[in-house]
Amino acid sequence: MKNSIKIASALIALSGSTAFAQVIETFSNFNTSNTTWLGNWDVSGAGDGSTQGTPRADFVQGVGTYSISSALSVTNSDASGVYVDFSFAPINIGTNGFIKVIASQLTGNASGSFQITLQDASADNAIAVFTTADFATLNAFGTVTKALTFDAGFDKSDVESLQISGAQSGGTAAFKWAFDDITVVATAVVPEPSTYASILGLSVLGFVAIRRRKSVVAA
Amino acid sequence: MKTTSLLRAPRLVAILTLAFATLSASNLSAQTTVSTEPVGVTVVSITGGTIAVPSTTAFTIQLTDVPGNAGASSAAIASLPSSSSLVVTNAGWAPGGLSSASAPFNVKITSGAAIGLTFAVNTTVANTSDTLTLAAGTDLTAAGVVAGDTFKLIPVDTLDTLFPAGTFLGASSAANADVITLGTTSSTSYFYNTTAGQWRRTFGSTANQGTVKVLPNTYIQVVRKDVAMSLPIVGAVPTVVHKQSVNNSGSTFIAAGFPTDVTLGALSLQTLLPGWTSGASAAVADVITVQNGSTRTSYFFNGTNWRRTFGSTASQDTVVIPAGRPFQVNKKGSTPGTSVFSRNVPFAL
Repeated sequence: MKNSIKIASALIALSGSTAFAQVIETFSNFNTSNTTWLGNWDVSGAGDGSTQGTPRADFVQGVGTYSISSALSVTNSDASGVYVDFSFAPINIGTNGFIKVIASQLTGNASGSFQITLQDASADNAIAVFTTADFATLNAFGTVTKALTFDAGFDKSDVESLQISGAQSGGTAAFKWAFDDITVVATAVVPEPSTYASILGLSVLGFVAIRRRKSVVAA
Repeated sequence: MKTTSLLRAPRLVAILTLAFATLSASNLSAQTTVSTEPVGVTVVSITGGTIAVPSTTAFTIQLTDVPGNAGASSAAIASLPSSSSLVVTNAGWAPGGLSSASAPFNVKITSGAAIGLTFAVNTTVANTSDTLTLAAGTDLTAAGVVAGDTFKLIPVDTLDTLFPAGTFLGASSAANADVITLGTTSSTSYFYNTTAGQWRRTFGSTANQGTVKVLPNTYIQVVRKDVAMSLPIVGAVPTVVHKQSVNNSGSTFIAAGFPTDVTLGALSLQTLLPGWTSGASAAVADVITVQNGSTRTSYFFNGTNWRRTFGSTASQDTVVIPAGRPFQVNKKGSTPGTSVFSRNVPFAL
């Protein structure tokens, strides 16, 4: 399935479009040397970014998923969150203007929303806010795509970090969410893999039809 | 708009108008030129939100209000009867007209050694027709002010004058209202209580907070729970050096002083703020934090360049602090007192 997506992406790219889905984070190995834990998401309860910090002990790294949920005070304060740095290999998101998040609201969550922030090298932001209404079913992953709001001057060719936060000024609501894949995409409606296969199939069919017509002509 | 004996024209304009730039006119005498301060308008865009998912916008005011008081609005100091009072010959001030808590004033020194320093006018000691008393604790002499120095009066906004009823979403409780946070060395939050018909603190005192000052070049944060809105603010462009006190330890909210963008490199905070500590990491160096919406990005000076406190290790000298964006200075250590951040006018007048 992944190969068909790559081929479909290549076909779109060959058509002249610079918009193709780009996975920003897979959460398969989330806490690395490029991850910084802030505020009460850090084990100290007050991560200030002067060191990378350590996630709360009861955050869970799953298979391709990561749960930010703790028995301790982990809140939706804008001073708390997690920051993933990829300035060593900045991403060019092309003309993509939407962000697709696979996430799950967890039992005990009291935060009303979370914010995804992409930041460029000039500290300009592109943000999208997702609410509990987007992920209404507890403990079940859902997929939601939203438009990014870009700061004027945001450089899409030089995206160097991702931040997840409850983003509420002085927020004290318990933050309990799990994440699985964050992807930038071109539209709000992203073709399902089966659709990509259809596109690929039609392309192949078209190629075959052309070959048959040529064969007929030759004959 | 609240009616007082000292009416002030609203600084927020309903219609976006671009005021005039510097006026310069010659009178009938070819040797005389009269000019006024440039006046303009800045528009603050407040991001929309909802009660369930509020938005956050931080900004600062860098255009000062234009005085409309009776008597002199700018003058030379004739004498200093005490360390906290000054006399202007024939000032013509209305007694008590400059010392009202509901319509307060600042004094900004415009010449001499203390140029750029700003002092608050005392609101419990009424001014006379020619004598102005400044806030308790002011020491003009220690600040270098002497007779002959010039100053100008600057009307200071309050919550009532700058954000009258209806400007933001009000409610009977802070949970359902827009919350305004004002910060200098600490921050306090307010909301417009529609039941009481007045500004109130979000917690603590239930007294009317309408006369709380909204000072220029300090931190203003709006947590918005209604549709997006714009705040056009009219005022005079600062034309003298900007000076602002910063705590020698801990946190102070300040701003660049002028309504123009500035890069971290050009701001040169490490040079312009005495006692700045640079270092190899954010753990040992003083830090500046710039807020964009609800996202905060922090930087330190490593002796050569500005760097992010985490994330990218590239130079951040070209990062822009947009006009109207306050920032927070966090100074390490425990040195008492304050230092003065001083920045010259960055544009030609």
